[in-house]
Amino acid sequence: MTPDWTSADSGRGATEAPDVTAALERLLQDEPGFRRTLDEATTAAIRDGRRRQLRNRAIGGVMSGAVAAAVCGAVVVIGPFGHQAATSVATSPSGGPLPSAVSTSSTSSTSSPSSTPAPAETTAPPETSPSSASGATGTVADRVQRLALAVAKPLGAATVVDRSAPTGSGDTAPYLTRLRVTTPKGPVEVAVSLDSDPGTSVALMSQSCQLDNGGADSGRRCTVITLTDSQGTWSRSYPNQPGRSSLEVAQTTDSGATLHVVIDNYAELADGTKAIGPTWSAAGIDPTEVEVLVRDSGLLG
Amino acid sequence: MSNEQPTEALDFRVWAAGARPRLRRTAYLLCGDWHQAEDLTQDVLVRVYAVWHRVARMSAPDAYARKAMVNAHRSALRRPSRREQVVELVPDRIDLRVPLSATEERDELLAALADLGTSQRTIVVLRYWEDLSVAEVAELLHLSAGTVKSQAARGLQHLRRTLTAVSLSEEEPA
Repeated sequence: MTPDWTSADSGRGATEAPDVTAALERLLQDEPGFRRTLDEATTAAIRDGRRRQLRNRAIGGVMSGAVAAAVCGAVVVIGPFGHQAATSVATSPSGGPLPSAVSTSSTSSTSSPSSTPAPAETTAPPETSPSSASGATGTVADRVQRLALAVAKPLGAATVVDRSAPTGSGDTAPYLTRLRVTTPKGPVEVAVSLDSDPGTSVALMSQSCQLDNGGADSGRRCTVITLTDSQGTWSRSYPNQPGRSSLEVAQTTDSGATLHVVIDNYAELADGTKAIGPTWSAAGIDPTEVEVLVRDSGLLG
Repeated sequence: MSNEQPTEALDFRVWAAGARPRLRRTAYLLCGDWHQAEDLTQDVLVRVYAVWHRVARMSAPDAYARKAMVNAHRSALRRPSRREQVVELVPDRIDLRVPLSATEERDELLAALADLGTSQRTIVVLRYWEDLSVAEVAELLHLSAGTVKSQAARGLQHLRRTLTAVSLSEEEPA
């Protein structure tokens, strides 16, 4: 056979070099079975994919590869999960159970889970009581969401864009609620997570802050507001994104998990695009108040 | 598995059921090792799920997965533990039901693929296994169309040379 070297020049490869495609196919004939079952593989992928979402959110996509690799274990903090459903609700009782009667317009083809609601968009007014995050009523997921709403209170009415919880005993995914608040000056995102992953510990978050300022091209500058062995509050600015700032509060729980709050003004709009909204300080967020809300959330012990 | 899966997780599982074998075959052609191919595939599933809400909305999980596979493979090559230099190809096990010539051809072809540089091998796999056009490969790898064409042609030439040699050896009298 005389090879036609020009065949690499255009069109589809498999139709232009069927002999090579067939040879590659023969190469795959000794394909062994998978070591992991499909269920094991997809369960692990979902769990790890969620962690990757959190990490991507934390590093903001602006850190250099080297720094990201160095910090990735430390900054698995908080962030979004995907969402498909759009749910609207009229009220969110202060400090009480989360709304049970919601009107849902799901765009997805499959049903939502019952006890752990599917990531949904829930429009709720701001909490009305300063102590609305207090109390240990409701499930852990409810308390996480209540804390998020309380933190977002100064910003205005919030929309729940993600809410997630571990799906079973072996699932180490964090409890998470992510809210979007669209202020007149732009969007702000508030996310609260309760994560047992040691990669989210206060100590590692502190290291992450140091790395941000370590001279590497991390794209972030970190300021420590408060820091103890079990609690930290950090503010970050992003030199490559003028106007962007975030506030992070982390607190170790009695069980060794980490409760995290992140307020980021680089957030998604309803149409999926991202924009920079008002900084947390301009929006009236007080780090001390957030720390108090965290302590009173009923999630620490 | 829990029956309390978010909707996107259910959708992802359905997609993964079909995509996983395909991804692993592509991964094997890229790396030449089934174990590593499965690890790469798992890595890709993680990467895809992390952005599932976005790629599913764009109805493009396969395209994203292909790109993620290439990136995951490159990342794996950069890890020190993956910088293995294969000096001799010894089949893990020989299936006696398979004619020796078929095994030999696979070994030769695997060696020929291993001879290609990472980029060239990736181009060959994407062109002649994934059946992508020059433009699609160029876009995926951030290369010029001319580079893809020339690399694909050279890779093709190398593989065909190997195939011809195997074919000739089969025809030699015992």
